[in-house]
Amino acid sequence: MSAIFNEYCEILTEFLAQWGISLELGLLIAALILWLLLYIGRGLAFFRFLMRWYQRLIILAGLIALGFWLFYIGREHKIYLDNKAMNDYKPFEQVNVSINGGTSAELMARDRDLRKVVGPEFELKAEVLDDNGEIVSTVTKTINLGFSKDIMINLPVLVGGSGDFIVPAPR
Amino acid sequence: MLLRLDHVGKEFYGNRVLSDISFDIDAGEIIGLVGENGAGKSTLLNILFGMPVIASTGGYEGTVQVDGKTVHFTSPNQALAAGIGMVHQEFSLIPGFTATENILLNREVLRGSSMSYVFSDRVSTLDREAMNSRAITAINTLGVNISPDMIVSEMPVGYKQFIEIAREIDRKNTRLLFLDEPTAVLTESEAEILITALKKLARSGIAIVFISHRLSEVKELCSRILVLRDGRLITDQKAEDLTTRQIASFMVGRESEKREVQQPIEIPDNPIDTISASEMLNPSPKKKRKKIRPALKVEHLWVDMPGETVRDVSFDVMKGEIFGIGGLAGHGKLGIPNGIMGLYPSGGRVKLFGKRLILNKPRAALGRKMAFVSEDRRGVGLLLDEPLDWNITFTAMQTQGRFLFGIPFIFQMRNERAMSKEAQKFIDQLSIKCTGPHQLASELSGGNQQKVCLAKAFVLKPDILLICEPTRGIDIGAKTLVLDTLREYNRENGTTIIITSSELEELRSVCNRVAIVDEGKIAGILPASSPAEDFGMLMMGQTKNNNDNNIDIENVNVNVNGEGEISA
Amino acid sequence: MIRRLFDIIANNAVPAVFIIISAFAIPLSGYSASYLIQELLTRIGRNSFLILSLLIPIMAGMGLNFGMVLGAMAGQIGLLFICDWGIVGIPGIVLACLIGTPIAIILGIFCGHVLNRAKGREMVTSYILGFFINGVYQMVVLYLMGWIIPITNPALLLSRGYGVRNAVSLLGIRGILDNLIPTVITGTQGAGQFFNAQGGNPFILLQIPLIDGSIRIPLATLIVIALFCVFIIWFRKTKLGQDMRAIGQNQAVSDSAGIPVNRTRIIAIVISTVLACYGQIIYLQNMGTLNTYNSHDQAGMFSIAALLIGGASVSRASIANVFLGVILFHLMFIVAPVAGKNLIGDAQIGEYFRVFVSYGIIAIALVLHAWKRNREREAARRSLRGNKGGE
Repeated sequence: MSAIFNEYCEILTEFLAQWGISLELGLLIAALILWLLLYIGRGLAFFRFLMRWYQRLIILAGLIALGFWLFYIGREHKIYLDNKAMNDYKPFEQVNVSINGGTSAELMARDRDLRKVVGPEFELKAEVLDDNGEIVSTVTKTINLGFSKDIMINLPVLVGGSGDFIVPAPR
Repeated sequence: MLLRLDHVGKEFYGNRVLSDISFDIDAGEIIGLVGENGAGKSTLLNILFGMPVIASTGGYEGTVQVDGKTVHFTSPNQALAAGIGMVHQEFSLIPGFTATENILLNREVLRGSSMSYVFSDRVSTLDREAMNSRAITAINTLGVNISPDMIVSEMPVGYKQFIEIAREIDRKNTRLLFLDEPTAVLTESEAEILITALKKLARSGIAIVFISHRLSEVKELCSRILVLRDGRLITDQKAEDLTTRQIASFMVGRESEKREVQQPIEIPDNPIDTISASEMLNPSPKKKRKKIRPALKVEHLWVDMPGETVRDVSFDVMKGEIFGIGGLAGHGKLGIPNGIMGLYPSGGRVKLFGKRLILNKPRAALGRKMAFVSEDRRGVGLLLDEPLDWNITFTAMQTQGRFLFGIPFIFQMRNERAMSKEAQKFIDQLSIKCTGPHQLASELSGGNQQKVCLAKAFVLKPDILLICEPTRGIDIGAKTLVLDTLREYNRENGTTIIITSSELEELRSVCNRVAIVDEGKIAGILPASSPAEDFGMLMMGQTKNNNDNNIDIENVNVNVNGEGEISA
Repeated sequence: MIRRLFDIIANNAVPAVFIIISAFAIPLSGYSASYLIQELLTRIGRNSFLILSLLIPIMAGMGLNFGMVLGAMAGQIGLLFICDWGIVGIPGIVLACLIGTPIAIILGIFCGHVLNRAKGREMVTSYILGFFINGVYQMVVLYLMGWIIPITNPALLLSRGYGVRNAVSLLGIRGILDNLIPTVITGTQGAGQFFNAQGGNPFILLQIPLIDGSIRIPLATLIVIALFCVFIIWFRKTKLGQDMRAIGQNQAVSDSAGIPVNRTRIIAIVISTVLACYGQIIYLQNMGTLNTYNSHDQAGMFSIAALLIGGASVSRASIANVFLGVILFHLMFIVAPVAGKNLIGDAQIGEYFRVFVSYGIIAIALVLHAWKRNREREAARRSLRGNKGGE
């Protein structure tokens, strides 16, 4: 069942892509066209009845979507910053991390710190310092959390350039 | 042909209330529908309006046609959709709303709104201007001048009636309008305006059925008059062919029946008192009249009894007399005895043997040796779950301290033996059918319960006995027994009795004089021997031009002229 | 004439008494004007919405809706969920409203059906119904949450693993609405001081020389409340509002005119319950802590008391009554403890006063209502009788 649905969605996406329309926009346009049709036919009692339920459905769907969107953008995430060894990557002497341009956290070797962000996306800027306090390298990364809640970021892995720097948060 | 009724009849549980009613109504016609209480008017209306009570009791016979098509309404909404409007006797207006809001109640003009698609039309805002203009149109159709912004609760009563009618007119399809006693609450000038308005309305093509007990208005307004009596259509004639007197006799009926009118009852001479009923009915020379002092003198009495409002009533009752109070239901006849006994808020002056009676205190009335038999036998009259001896002696025990022993005010007990003995005495005297004085009152039949109520009043040894509806809800055999008992009691003890009853014939057979109450006032007092039509005329509001309702005793006989009209 | 005068006094006696009490208590308390204004503004923002939710059932003739506690509970359930999920800020508040709405609607429909079976006894029925639903709420929150209903945040749960803690911190949404548009009124001298203390820039800064110190205005909350007032004014003009007014005055007449009486009454209660839900959320975002098992308890009682103090009656209430009520009721709560302390030496007198006044005022309103209704009925019958027969 879901396979058929997926296939159908793919075909639809491809079909819409001809005009450069995404699937969401396509659905919105379809809903509008249906509403217009019902609006034109509103002289008929049955159409009015249909339209009422159709509009209620759209508003209900809109509210549920709003709920998900709020959940998505309003969620507070705990970001654990970890300056520890992992997968051959060694911890740095000191690394300063700031999230979304906020005050930076100074992490010495084997330090762990906690920052909170609101919303699914944040920009992380890590500055690796050497013994003298000189900035050796700077890494800026935009991370999207999606619907997950708390994460831990292993800084050596992140700066090292490997992709799997996100580790499950400790409980 | 707007509406046609063909052999319509109705039976309630084997009790026939309407039979073989056939008539038709044309557009623009004004028809007067008159009849006594219980003549079947309300049942007829219920059928025409598809009231659920008709269907739930087995429907009706015959057919009703609107525009030549047979219809069978099962709900009032269907009748409204067919263009039949109704203005009820009670106001169905929202007191805090303006005239406009009431006229367009639940038919408001709405502005379209996008929200109304999602929810319903009910979230659209009201278009006040359009509503006002529609209300003004409806009011103007009636030819009256009422501001559409006037709040209903601040209106004179007459205006409210116009608002009700305007509401029906505003319904676009209304073609037939039933008006149930529309003038009952109006002053004379207001009634005149209403009648003019209705005539104007009829000219615009709306047929009107006018139900009223004021015969003069019916005659003035209507082109045709239908008279209902005992569920039958007695007459259906042009108004100009009928006199009010004829209508009254059609309504009251029985003019052809040769019936025996109760002769004035012999009353044993009472040394203290100055007048007897026979003297009263045969006016004596002037000097003797000066001594006349009535047993009960009622002056400008008003009573706030719901549904039986008494507005302004004055009358005198002579010692030893049986005095009847009659009239249509809802006009206040029951309010008079209830008010005198203090059961409902009342005012005015009531004198008992020349001394003023304190109103609004039942105990004061009972203390002055007045007894009362309520029309509400099972509610007020009896302690249903108590034995007969209790019921019979209860009031005497409470108000006169009888059937008790012990030390007064400190420690008293019921004297059960005396109670039983007294009860047994009345059971024998009134031949109450029961197993004994200890049977429960609820186990007796209606007639016997009524006798217990009488016994309860007799135990008090009253000087004045007020009885409401003594024969309501009991069978014919018991009726005669109850009436005979009253007559006998009056003869033996010289007790003054005031009977209130909706059955005119009953009053005429028992009483010396009968007062007819109309719209909370006494329309007239006639000796029982007067012809039935005269009573009928009084009931139908034919004394409206009488300024003074209080008819002097000496005038009763003298002023009843050949026509039976009472002159002012 | 005397009757008219008496009516005016009877209609306005309660607010008048409170104005007089406040007039004596304010100087006794020794508070500065800016402090009082600040406190009052906070409380207007905190409580007005809850009180406004009472207006619609009064319009529909259902009396004071003690059942608004149901809405408050629905709002709290919404707040518990967003706390668990960690949704903060304005999205958190809106999401709490979104979650609370269907719960409030269901509870409102239930309440409406019950009240339709208890016509004429709406107030006592809804009061007792509040207790009943409180029991259901406690069962849900104390046993089902964390067991059947997934709650994962250990900060919310009791140590036994299920059931919600007595006090839940709403740090994530605390004061969010109040401070959305930071607005400050300061005197000329207070401005600098204020910035040092707050460390932030107000969005709007008004300088009024007469004021000593500074006053923070919960502007966004006040805007929401103003929008709500506009909603109520609009609602009165709709067909539904008109129907409710009709039903409120005479159910039998409305029914015979074809207005769906029972349905309309249910709608009135549903609207009130949903708005109470939002009101409770606004209230709690200001408070910052949710007392899981107590916060809703007093919501109904204090709102109703405030409305009545504002001069409303069981059958008639306006927006003006709401604001006058909030101001008078809370003004007294602010000044009474200090005034009591300064006068008698016991701050407890204020708390005593609070409870005493709330219950007392409700009792007086109910008695006045019954008395007035009897008098109106009598007057109606007198008018039926005509002018004959005097008083």
